[in-house]
Amino acid sequence: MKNQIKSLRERIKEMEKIVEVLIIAIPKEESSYKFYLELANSIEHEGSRRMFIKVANQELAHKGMLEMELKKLQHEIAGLKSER
Amino acid sequence: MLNISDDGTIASGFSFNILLISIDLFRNNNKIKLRNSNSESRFYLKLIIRTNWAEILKKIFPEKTKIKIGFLNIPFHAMFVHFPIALYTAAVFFLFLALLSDKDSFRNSYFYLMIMATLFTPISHFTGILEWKKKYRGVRTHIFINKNRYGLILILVGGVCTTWYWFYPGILDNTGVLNIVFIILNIFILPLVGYLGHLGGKLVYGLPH
Repeated sequence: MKNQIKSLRERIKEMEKIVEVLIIAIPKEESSYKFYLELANSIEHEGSRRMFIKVANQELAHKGMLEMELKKLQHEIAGLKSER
Repeated sequence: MLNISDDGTIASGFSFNILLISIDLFRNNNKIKLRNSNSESRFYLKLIIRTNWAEILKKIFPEKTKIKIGFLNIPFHAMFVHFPIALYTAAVFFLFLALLSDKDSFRNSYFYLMIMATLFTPISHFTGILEWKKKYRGVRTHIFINKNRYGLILILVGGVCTTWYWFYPGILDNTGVLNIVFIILNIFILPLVGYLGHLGGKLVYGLPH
């Protein structure tokens, strides 16, 4: 029983570390998105503008992915904590 | 007339749109009537008002809120966090100079720097909490818990050192246990400030590889 609780605790700790990484990465993706979007808006060359919009959208997609992972992990952690 | 279903399945984005429409109607002096506005629907509306107040303000006062919303986006924590770091470090440096040379000018410098640092630390802490709530969604992880905890300890230790010297400036003249405790408390500020800066650096520049 004690071993089970210990392993559960370790698992939660491990997952919280991943949450930490995600929570730091999400604002970075958001700022990258804003950066590329601003670049796209400031540029006149049509091809470059399209490229920057594409890159900005990619950053937004990354952010969405990370947010999904974060939600999943938070849900899992809450489940594990209730088990404990 | 606006209809809000009472089955509790209103999507937040959809109901947010309804709210914005209702504000538009309100601005045009139209009457808004909420049919089936049972407790559940009201709860939804209240929730939306709380979470999207900036957007709502933008709708009501499109010109005036520009300044307010821009004001919220200023990185206040990044601006204020460096003050305590620099001031506490300089204060402890002047404390050592005062101990070595026994000049009043060094003591005064230590004291005034400590006052400034003690004033800026709570501001920095408060702005940090705001940024944590806004940028990092208030997620409680190891970094944020430690930052909050050690930030509070810094406020306490800094406050104690400043108040102590304010009421008993002769503490540096005496030689005894209290004198040693006072110096240790001051030295203790340095690792605290260093650790808090390290955690902040982790958040800004990323986690170590």
